[in-house]
Amino acid sequence: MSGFLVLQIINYISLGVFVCLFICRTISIARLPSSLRWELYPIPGRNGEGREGKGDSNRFGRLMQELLYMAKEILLFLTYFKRRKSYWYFVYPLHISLYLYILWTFFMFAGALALVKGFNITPESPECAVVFLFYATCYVGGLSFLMMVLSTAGLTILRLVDKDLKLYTTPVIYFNLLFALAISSTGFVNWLWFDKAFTVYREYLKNLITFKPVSDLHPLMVINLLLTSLFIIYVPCSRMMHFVTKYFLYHKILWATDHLPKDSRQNRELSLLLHKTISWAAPHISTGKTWEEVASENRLFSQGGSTGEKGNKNR
Amino acid sequence: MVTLEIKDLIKLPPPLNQPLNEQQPLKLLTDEQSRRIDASLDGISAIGILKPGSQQEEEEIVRKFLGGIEKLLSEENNWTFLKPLTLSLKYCASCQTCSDACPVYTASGKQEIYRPTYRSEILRAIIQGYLKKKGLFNFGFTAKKVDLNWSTLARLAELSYRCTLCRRCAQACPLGIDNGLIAHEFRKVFSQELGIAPKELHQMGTVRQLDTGSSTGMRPKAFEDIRRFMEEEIEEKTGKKIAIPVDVKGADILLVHNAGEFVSWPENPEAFAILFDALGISWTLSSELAGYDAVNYGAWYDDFQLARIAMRHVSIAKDLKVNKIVVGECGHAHKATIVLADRLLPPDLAIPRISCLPVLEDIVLSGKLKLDPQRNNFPVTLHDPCNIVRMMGISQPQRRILRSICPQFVEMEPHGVDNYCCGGGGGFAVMNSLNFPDWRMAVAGRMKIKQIVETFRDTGNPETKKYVCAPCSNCKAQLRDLLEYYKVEEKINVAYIGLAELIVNAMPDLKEPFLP
Repeated sequence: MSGFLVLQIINYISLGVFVCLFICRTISIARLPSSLRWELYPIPGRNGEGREGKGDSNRFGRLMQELLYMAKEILLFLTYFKRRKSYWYFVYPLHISLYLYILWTFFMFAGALALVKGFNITPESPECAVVFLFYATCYVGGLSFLMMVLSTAGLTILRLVDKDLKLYTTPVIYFNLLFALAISSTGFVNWLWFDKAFTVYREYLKNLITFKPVSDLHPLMVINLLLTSLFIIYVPCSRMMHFVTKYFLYHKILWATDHLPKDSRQNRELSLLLHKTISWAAPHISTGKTWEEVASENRLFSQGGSTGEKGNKNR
Repeated sequence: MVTLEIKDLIKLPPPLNQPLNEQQPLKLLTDEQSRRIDASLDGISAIGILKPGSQQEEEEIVRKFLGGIEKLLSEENNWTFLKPLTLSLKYCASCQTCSDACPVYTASGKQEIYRPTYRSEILRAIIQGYLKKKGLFNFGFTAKKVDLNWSTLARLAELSYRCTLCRRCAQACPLGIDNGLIAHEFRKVFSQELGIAPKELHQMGTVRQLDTGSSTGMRPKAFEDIRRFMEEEIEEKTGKKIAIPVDVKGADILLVHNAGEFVSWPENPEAFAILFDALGISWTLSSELAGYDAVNYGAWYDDFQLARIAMRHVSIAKDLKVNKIVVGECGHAHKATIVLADRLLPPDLAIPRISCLPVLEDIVLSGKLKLDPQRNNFPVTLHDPCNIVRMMGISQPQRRILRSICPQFVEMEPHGVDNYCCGGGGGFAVMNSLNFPDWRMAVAGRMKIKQIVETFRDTGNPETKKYVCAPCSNCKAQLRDLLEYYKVEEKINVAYIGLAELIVNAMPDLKEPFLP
């Protein structure tokens, strides 16, 4: 088996593993039980009235305002801009470079499909869409790699020199940055010196799509493709999944002000958890009882009057 | 670890930059206290954590603590906060954007131990280093190393009480990570597993409330005496004979006040009684155990105590067959009763629970009550209690009230959801043991006193009395102590007051001003 074939197999596997890990991780986060309400304001669409219905947008309006807020945040990183500009100068280009990378991947995939259909991706093509694809791939890809090189290098240096950041930067953070730097720098050099139109990349992708083996690749491209495959597997296992957790933290916790509907899945799950035995060991908690039993020890029952005394004996 | 000195803290504006305040040293523990109590974090003791007697005892505490952290990460033991905790622990980008939002960290002159991410990093390190299987990618790779021993635990226990739980840090985080919650969860491990909590919150707080009816120690008989006293005082002040209703079955509203109001500021519940009576509102107080004390200190340190008290409050309302509970001017009681209890209450206890602020706004803006703003013609600013504003989003009713009854109303900067904690949040306002009050004044409340003085900087005449309106009992307690500590009343004539009192003070038919 040739080395190139191994690389292709790794590419397939990495994509499969990424999809599986991503889905599993997302499901495991979604399945964490609903917490107590833990909202935090400002919440888009809420106007500080403190009573439902007055001043606040309706459900749909709220959702739109939340999405608008998030879209602005994702596209402009306004919180970083307002609160920590020195960090924004690097973290913003880094994320823009990632968005461009995704866009570039899309263009590459479209180009590869066009190749399969028999089009030649050249600036001389009579098809406007193909010409657009040619130039868009070149510029978006090149810009993405360049921005990623500068921003990951910049962030690494910033974390080494800024005393606040340095103290809290663990090896894994440097590892993540250097990993991204390695991918982007190999991609950038490859683009700049060997494959300015991403012709070889596109051909490689076409072969991946059509399950055909590759016969020749520049070593730098092999390194870039290998690192990219490993990175794809690594992303769902790392803190970089924050693009998913941000949704849960905001929409399901910080902005979640609604009551859980009685028949909702979350409510049913909470009922089950309330009936599970707890094991906290402090003297005021009756270990071995269920959450609900411990919490109800002092509630007032209209038939029997106060149960305060009974509850107190447990302490 | 750290020795705090006043000169290291942020500078205060004039006239608080006078030598008296600036050189006042932070009290140290006495030699006798130091022998018994660990205060190695910063020389301050909030909990009075006792040093263990033997090596064996130390190891046992560490073992139990690790067990507690495991429980914190399990569904059955900590479903209440597992989701935000897990996500906050795993996905923080360590960008430190939250640091400058923290009033304690900022006021302290940026002492590293008070940084919002400091305790979170320690928790990550403990989980990675002691609870996960060791491997190349675990120890030291994803989190810093920490040496877990009794001394670390004692410092951590204290450190969990150097955060006011104001959650300004979470508000500043672009990813929604909540370092305030991590301080809260640390408190829970110490309380729910090791039985360690400040005595003002536990023994003299939630335990006493469930035993005697109130964290103030007020029993139903004493409550009855205070009710009579308030009726007499209302008559004296207003000339009106108002019967304060208690245990009226079928009333529309069960009004629950922080019992601290009855003890320290009876004019606040009196004001509610005057306003509700004037509008003919159907309401009642409760004389049941805990029914006359809205506080729920469990919100700050223990989910079970929180749930017990919340259930008790709501079951009292159910028993009285009222339509809704209205929570008086108490921030954490708002959050505990209205928000936190929401997913704790069994279906039979689902009863509407609302804030008093929109109710007061309805009274003021209804036009049914004659009010004369000129009676409040003095500078007034508004302190936004974190629990009511940042954590519940109620920011406008109180402003509309003040704008309509206080011609010289002026905002603090920042205000609303961005406002600074008074420094008494997270239970601090009632924690008065050892040398903690000194820290609470000098560090936790520093940003607030700075804000207050800056707000009134341009109000001119120092003879004019100015008010900070704080619709929260604990904030008022903290403001009372802060104004006294910094001698602000003497220097620039600033006092604090509740919102209902200002409304009643604007009633033109009063015989004399209602404000103290």
